[in-house]
Amino acid sequence: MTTSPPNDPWSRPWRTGFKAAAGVPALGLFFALTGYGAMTQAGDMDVWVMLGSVVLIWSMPALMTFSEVAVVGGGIWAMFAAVLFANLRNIPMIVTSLPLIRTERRPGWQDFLFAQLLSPTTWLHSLMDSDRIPLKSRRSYFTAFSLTVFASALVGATVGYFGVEYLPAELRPPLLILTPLYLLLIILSVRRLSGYLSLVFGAAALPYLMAWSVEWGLALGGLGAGTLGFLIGGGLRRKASS
Amino acid sequence: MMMDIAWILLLVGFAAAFLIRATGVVISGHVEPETPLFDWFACVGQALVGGLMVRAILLPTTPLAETLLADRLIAIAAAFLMFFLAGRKLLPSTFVGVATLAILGMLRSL
Repeated sequence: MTTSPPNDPWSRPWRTGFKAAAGVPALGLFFALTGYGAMTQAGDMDVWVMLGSVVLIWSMPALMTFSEVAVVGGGIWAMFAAVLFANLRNIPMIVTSLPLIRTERRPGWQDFLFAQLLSPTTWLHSLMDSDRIPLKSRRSYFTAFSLTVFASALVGATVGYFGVEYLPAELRPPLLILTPLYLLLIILSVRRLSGYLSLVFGAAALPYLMAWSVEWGLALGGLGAGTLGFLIGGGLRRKASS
Repeated sequence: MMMDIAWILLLVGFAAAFLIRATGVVISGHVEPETPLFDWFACVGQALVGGLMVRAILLPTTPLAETLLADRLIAIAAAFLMFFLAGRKLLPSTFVGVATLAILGMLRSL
């Protein structure tokens, strides 16, 4: 039997996770969601729908997609397809983070809860920090981490929604660039040629294809641009050599 | 009426989002991160998200459209410059972009 040292941070993983997230990670989500709150307010979205979207969808790309499709008047199928595809990147995030925190082999209900709370910020930290955290403490640590940034995001969205009215008129439009810019920079943080190419192809194709059809333009543009970026970026070649 | 439609769209969005997350949970442990299929999913996701974000900036449907396209492009360039020159820091780079757009807008309104 092992005992923890008196100041062992992993004896209280919830507290340690909260403290780790309470700095820059929470601030980043706060400001990112401030932009989302301001954007939905500008689009005349009801505040409870906005907060509900943060709680239920909880993924910046999917939230932006939800807002965009709702604003352009897309239907149920368009919304389902758009959020589904915008959330695709959550699959690799979940697939790569759960094995790092799971102590059981089979997925349990805790895994679904963790997956619902997972954000790119938590995912990146799980990849970076798991090695230094005892396995038995990881789920508590990263759940606390996730809940902290989640709470910060909710506050940020509320501040953005209501606070934007008190800003000078000249400052309101610039705030609306915050969220898409933040997400573009997050994508650029992933240093992989195929990822960069996919971003460029998607940026070139999607706006035009979505002018033709919101749902089909999004689906076909994303699949086509992503596949093109993957192939030209050496996705197959890279694996063949590894 | 409009609010009802918004709630329905939200539930549809939640169903789609949860389906993806549940799929991730189910296949976790069965798919190796370093595989072509894994990378392809990531590429499609980045193309989708990147395309939507660029669309939100270049063809905005919000009051962001009140700003000049040239100013938005300068703001993006300033943010990217900060990002690549200052150690890929997300927050400062984002703030530089927002501040640049705000300053350009204020200068033009003088």
